[in-house]
Amino acid sequence: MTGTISARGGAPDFARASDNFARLVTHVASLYCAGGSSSVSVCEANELAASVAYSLGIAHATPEEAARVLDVDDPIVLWHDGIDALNRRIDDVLALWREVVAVMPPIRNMALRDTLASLGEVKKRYDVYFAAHEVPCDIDYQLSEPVDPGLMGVDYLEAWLAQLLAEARWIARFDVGSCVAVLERACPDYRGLHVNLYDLLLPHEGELVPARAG
Amino acid sequence: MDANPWLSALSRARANSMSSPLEEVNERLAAGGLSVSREDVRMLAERREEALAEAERVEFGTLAIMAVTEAVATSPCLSQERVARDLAELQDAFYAIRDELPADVPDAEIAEALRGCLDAWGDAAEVAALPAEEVMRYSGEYVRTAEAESLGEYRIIDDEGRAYAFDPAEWDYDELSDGWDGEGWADDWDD
Repeated sequence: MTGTISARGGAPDFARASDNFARLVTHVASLYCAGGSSSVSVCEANELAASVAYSLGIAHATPEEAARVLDVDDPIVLWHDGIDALNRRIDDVLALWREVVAVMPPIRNMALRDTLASLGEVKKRYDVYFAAHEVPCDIDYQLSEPVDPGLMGVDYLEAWLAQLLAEARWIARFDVGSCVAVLERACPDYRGLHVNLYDLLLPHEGELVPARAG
Repeated sequence: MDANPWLSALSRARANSMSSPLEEVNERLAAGGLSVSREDVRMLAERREEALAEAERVEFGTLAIMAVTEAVATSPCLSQERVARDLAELQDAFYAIRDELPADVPDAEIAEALRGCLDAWGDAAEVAALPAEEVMRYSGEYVRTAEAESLGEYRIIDDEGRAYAFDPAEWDYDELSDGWDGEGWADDWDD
């Protein structure tokens, strides 16, 4: 796979880039239909095109930036490279999830439990071929600092878990028993409500007992 | 990048990759001793655009009329006088049915059902007026698959008559959902 932009040193070939994108979406749509159907709904076509654009890293690109990426000899190889890169990032997301689970003290909150259980299944849930741009998990837990809702796919998961890890690390500095005692006073239904544990604990930092080392 | 404008290139890519629809349709109709004219093909193309717009679908592969023509070419219900009009009716029916079925139902099963239905009803316009489920009863493979799915498993028979069953439940797995401190996420919760 070689792009022509560097060789020519000029503007990308928009016609070739456009044809390559059409060829690629056609290829992906054919895979989506398992070769059995020659048409998809407009809605499905848009979703597949959005997935392809995300996997190529051009979801938010300008037409010229997108054309530079797509001005290649073989767009299908380009797409497979994008899929491989996303799969590696999903492995990293899973490693981040494991770190969050290891760090987060066992303070029971249903939304947090369900969200982490869902994120733990990310490899099974993430459809990297046909819905790469979608966030594959059920995320109910409210973060203290919401991540940019414009983020898509793996980008959203990375940002969300990074923020949760920061919150979990702060909570883990304190003794679990003292955290639970504060929560039961500050928000007795903290288990069932869609609350953020960090936000509930932060105003009571002075009442929390530091966790024992080791 | 807004993907929508790029989708318009889909039809261009498909058009570039196709040989003449007139030749392809007539090659298939030859099996039944029938043929269409260039004007008929133009009419079929216009009806196709209308049907796709009506069904809100994008066609990216081989034109549906090819599968339909191949399936019905030898039907005794087609005649040279009415073949173009009947193909147009069946093409409309194809896209309407296609839009009601999931993507994993092959075009060939819809075309097979249209052929069976045409032979049974004798008139393409009547076939086009039938509900999708009624038409699909004429595809043996579709009926077998639907019956197997209703039983929760998929079964195929190979050329030597051996049966193979696939039960999706046996393929379910769950290996990544441990909770912290080794407890299951849903252990002993008084939710």
